[in-house]
Amino acid sequence: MSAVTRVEAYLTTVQRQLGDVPRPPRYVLKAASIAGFLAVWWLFVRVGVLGFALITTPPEAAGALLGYLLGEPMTNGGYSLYYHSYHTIYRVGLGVGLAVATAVPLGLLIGWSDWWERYVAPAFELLRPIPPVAWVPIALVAFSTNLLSIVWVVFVGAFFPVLLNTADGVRSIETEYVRAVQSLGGSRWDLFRHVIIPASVPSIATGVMLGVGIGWIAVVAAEMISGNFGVGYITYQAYRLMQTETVVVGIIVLGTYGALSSYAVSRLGTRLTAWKDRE
Amino acid sequence: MTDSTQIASNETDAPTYRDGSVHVESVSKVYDPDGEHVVAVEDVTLHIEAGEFVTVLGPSGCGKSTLLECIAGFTEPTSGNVYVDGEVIDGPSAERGVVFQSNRLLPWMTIEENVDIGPKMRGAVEDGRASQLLERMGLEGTENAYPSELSGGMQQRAEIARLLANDPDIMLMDEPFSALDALTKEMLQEMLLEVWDDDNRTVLFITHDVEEALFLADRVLVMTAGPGRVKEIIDVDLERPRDLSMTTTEEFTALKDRVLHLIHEEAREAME
Repeated sequence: MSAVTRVEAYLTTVQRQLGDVPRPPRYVLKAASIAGFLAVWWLFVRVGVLGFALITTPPEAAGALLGYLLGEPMTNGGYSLYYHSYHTIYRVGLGVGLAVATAVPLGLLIGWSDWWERYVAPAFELLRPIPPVAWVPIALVAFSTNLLSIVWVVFVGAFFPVLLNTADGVRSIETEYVRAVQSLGGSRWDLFRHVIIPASVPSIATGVMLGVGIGWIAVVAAEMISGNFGVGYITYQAYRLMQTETVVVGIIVLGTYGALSSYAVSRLGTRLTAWKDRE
Repeated sequence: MTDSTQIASNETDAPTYRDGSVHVESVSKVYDPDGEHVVAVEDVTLHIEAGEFVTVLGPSGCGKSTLLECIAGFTEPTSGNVYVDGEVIDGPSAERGVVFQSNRLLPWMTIEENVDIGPKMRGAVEDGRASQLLERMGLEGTENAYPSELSGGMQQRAEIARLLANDPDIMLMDEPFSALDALTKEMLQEMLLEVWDDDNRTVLFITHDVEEALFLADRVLVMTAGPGRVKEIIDVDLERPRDLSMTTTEEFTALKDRVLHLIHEEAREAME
C-alpha cells in the first residue's frame, strides 16, 4: 500500500466517523434561531437601546396575546381580537377576490388579443405605478363607506400583479400548442379552454401570491388611516395609547395571517399545476 | 359509387378509400421583418395524390417548414393557393393533422387526455379508443402518465396516436424524428410505414435526412437552399412493404447517390 492510498483510506474512515456523529435535527436549529431573536429583543428592551425601553418584553407580549386569544377586549374600544380579525380578513378577502375576478379575465384578453393590448392596456399602465396606499384619500372621498374605501385600496394593490402575470403567462404560450389544437379541429373557445387557461395557470398563481401579499400591506395601511376597527386599526390605536404589548400582538397576528394566506394560495397553486412538478 | 370501390369494400383487408389529395399551386411566402424581404418559399407547385407518401428534403432554413405551415393553414401564402381535394384551404383543419418537430403534446393533460382531445373537441369521444391507439403505437399502460414522464420517442409515438384518434385524411409531419437517437428513429420510421400501409392516409413528411426521405417516400421533393424552390422531384420505385434492410440494396444506394449529388450541387450553387 502506497503512502497516498493509505492517507486516502484514513481520510475516508475519518469522514465516515464524522458522518456518524448525529447532527441536531432541523427543528432544533430553527428553535435556536427563534430563541436568539427573542433574546436580542429582550436585551434591547432591558438595556434600553434607542427608544426600546418603552417597548414590551417577550413575556409581556405573550401574556397579552394569550389574553386576547381568550377574548379579552382590546384597548378602549372594547372589541375582541376576533372581531377585529374578522373585519380585516373580510376586507382582504373581498379586495383580493374582486381583483382576481377582474384581473384574470382582463389579463387573458390583453395577453391574447392585440386589440386589447393596444387599446385597453395603456390605461392600466398609467395607473399601475401608483402605490396602493396613495389611493386612500381619493377612496375615502369617492366611496361613502369605510368598508368600500379600504376594499378599494386592497383591490388596487392586488389587481396589478395578477393582471400583469396573467397577461405575461398568455404571451409566453408557445405557438405550437395553439397550432396543435387548431390542427386537431379546435375552435377559438377550445383554444381558450384547453391551451390558454391551463398554460397560464402557473403565472396566474404567481400573480395571486404577489397580490395577496400586497393586499395585506394595503389593508394595514388603509385601516391605520381610516378604519374604525380591524387589526391594522387597533395596532395603530394601541400605539397612540402607548400600549406596546397590544402593538406587538397586532404585529404577530398580522404576520400570522399573511403567512397563512400565502401558504394557502401556494398550496392551491401547486395543486392546480400538478403536471408541472413532474418535469 | 364506382365498381372498384364496391369490390374493395367487400374485401376485408382492402384499403379504405379516402380523400386527401393536396395541390400546391405556385405558392410563395415572403416574410417582411423590418422591411427586409425574406423569401422563404418561392413558386412551389406540387401535386400529391390521395394516399401518397411524399417527403420534402432540404437543408435547414430552406423554407420546407414554411411550406408545411402553408399546407397546414397556419400561415397564408403571400401568393398562390393550397387546394385539398380540389378546394382552397382556409386555415387549419382537423382533416390535416400535424406532427411537430419538437413534441407538442399538451403538458397539462395526461397521455390519454391528449389522445382524446381531438375527438373530444369534435364531440365524438369513444371509450377505450385512446387505449387501443396507444397499444397500436406500443404505448400500452401510459394512459395516466403526463407527457414529461415519457421519453422523447414515446412522446412522439403518443403524438402520432393523438393524430390517428382524429382520423385525418392527411398527415403533415415536420421533421418529427429529427431529435431522436438513431435506433428510436429507425423504429419509428418502420412504425409509421405500418400505420400508413394500414390506413392509406396522405403523408407529407419533412426531413433533412436523405436516407429517411428515401426509405419512407413514394416521391422525394428536393428543395433548393433559400429561397426554397423545387429543385427536383424523384420517384422512389422501391418495393413495399419496406424494412430497414433495404437501405443497403444497390437500388437504394443508387437513389441515395443521386439525391446526394443533387444536394451537393445545390450547396455549391448556394455558396457561389
